[in-house]
Amino acid sequence: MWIPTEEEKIGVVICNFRSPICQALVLELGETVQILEKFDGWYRGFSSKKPSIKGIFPVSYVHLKKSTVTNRG
Amino acid sequence: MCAVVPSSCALGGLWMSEAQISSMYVSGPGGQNRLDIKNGCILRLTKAPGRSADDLYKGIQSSDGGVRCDSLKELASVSRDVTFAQEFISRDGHVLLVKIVEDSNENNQIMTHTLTGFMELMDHGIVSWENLSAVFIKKIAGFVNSKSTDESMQQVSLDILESMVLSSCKLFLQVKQEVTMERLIAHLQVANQQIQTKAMALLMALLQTAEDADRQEMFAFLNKKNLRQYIYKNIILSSSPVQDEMAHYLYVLQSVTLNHLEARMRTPLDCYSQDQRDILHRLRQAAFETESENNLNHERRRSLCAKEFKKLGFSNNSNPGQDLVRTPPGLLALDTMYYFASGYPDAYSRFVLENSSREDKHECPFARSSIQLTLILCEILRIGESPSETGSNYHPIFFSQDQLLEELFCVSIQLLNKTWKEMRATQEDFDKVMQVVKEQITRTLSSKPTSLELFKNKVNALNYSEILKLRQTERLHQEETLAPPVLELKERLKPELLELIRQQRLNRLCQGTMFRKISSRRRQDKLWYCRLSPNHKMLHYGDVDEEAENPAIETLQEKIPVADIKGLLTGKDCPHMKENKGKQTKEVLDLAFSITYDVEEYSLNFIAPSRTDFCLWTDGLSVLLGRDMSSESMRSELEILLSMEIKLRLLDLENVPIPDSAPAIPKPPSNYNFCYEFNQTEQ
Repeated sequence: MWIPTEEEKIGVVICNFRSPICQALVLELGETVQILEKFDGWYRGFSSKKPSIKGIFPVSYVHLKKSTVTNRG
Repeated sequence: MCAVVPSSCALGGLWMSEAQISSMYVSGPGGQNRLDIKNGCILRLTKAPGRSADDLYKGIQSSDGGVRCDSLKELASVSRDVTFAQEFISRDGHVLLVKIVEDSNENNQIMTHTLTGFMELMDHGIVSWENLSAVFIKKIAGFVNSKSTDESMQQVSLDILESMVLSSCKLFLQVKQEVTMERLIAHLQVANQQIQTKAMALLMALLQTAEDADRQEMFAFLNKKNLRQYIYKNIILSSSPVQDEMAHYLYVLQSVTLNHLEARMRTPLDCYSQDQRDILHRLRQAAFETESENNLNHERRRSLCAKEFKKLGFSNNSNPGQDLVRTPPGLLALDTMYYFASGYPDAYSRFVLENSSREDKHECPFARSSIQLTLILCEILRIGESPSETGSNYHPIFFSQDQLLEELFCVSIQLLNKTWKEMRATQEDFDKVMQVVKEQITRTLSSKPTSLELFKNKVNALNYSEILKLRQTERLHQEETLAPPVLELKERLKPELLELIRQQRLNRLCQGTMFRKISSRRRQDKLWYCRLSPNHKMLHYGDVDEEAENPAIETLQEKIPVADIKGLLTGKDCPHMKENKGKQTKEVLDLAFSITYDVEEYSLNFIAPSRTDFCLWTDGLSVLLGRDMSSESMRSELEILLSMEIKLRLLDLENVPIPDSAPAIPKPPSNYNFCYEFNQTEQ
């Protein structure tokens, strides 16, 4: 089941991603993504370019960056 | 909170009395206390630590062996929690554990749990190590020293001893007395990686905490007992990969051992030392066997020495010792040169004779190179740097070989000679050759060769042309990554950037340009101005005076609707170029373009003031005609914009490897029941 991520919060996309899978985001190399939750090899989150659109993307397409969370809720 | 807990207990099927609930301690995800818990934290109901501590305190004293064992087992796992630890220690639970160890009436399993529990409790730092009795220490050391002890017991005992050594000097002395180093070395030879690591940890703790004199003694002992060989055989060459923790200890051991050379590295040559002068002469004599030296008079002898030192490549041939005054590398360079000359006399002679018989400025100076090479090796091996807390980068080759620095030097100095020849270097190229050799050594070492032989073969295969090739590929990779995802991204970005260029061209056309009409009279070229209307529908033009900077559209008398434009011609296809064929220079041809309009083949002829304007206008007109832009300016501008855009996009990916092919996409998730719901307003 989908679990909110604790440590994995910010990442950079390492390969262009486009897929017909339902709710998949379209991501370009170099984009920054924020991660909300994960499950089964997928993250759910949004791109900093379009924060209002939430969708899923594979874990293997993201390189995680260290981050500190200031506002949990 | 009180209302929530009973209801969730009820839901879970847990029926408890009020009294029981109030004694329960609501534990948050990070062990926070009640006040810190906010709405939405996941709560876990566990037994209160005070209760636990009480229960276990009784349990480990039970007369029933099974109960004792279970209690100790639970103690071992629950002691990791700091709140529990505080409770248990406040009841002096740890004293009980110490007593169990000292009495040692228990079987191995119980003892292991006891020791683990003890270790976990001590880890929190609540109680100091200082107050432990000698009996206790002796017991623990006994477990480590004995050959028949249970493996998990030995592991945790090693752990305890390590913490003791690191925490106080007094304890260090006690432990050192009790534990034999031989036993520790023996532990390195077992198959159990955990024990190997723990034994190594204790060994390093002992070495690092010891005073200088003590430490020298310990190192000498370890050398005599072949520590290095055991490490090589059982750890480096073992089939299971070296884990991070062990890697750190190997790194520390390597660092500390190599740093023994630091003192020598920082000692300059002492010109009054007869010993050191003797070594210099021995170097000279090993290269040039002059038997008749004693028959020469002082003067002749002096000049012969000077000549020979010069051939040896010393910068200061009348006083060669001066070359060794600079530190680093100091006397270490003398050591390495002498090691080479005495250890590999044939190679040494060959080197010197090859290079002393040339007179064409291509000689490779032995001494000067050796001194510089020694310095380079000191830098690569980081001699003089104290080991960092987290470093784990060690060279397997270090453990394969005694006297690593000297042996590396011997291989490298011959490599240097080879590379010098490949580069056809002269004295001026000295620094360049050094750079290449440094790179050869560094790249080869980073592939972690496990023996000197492997290093030698690899480094000799990495010749000068290989280095050049590697440098070029890396440069390409840095400036413009060749990874397919990047190329793909470039293609995606192109349309946007082309549009940008298109807009720019049209804007420039709207601004307009001053053109000249080349007249046959040659005296006064007539000036005319052409500009595109703001709505891009009309091209306005007309004659203007010299002074006109930016004539308004209204002042330009003529106009052509863009819709009427049929074609764009350039260069020799232009009507005005075809007319005066003989008179047209290449320069003018490169600047000429024409617009054809209306069915009747009217044309408007231009001669651009510069090639840039030519590109601007031909591109702009192409856009108006619905065609692709084709000028070389357009191509180079697109390239610049693309590489800038890529660099910006990849800024966050600096030092992150980009995969060569797209990673596999996993199959879609089996459900979409997300944790977070976003309604329209939040989106």
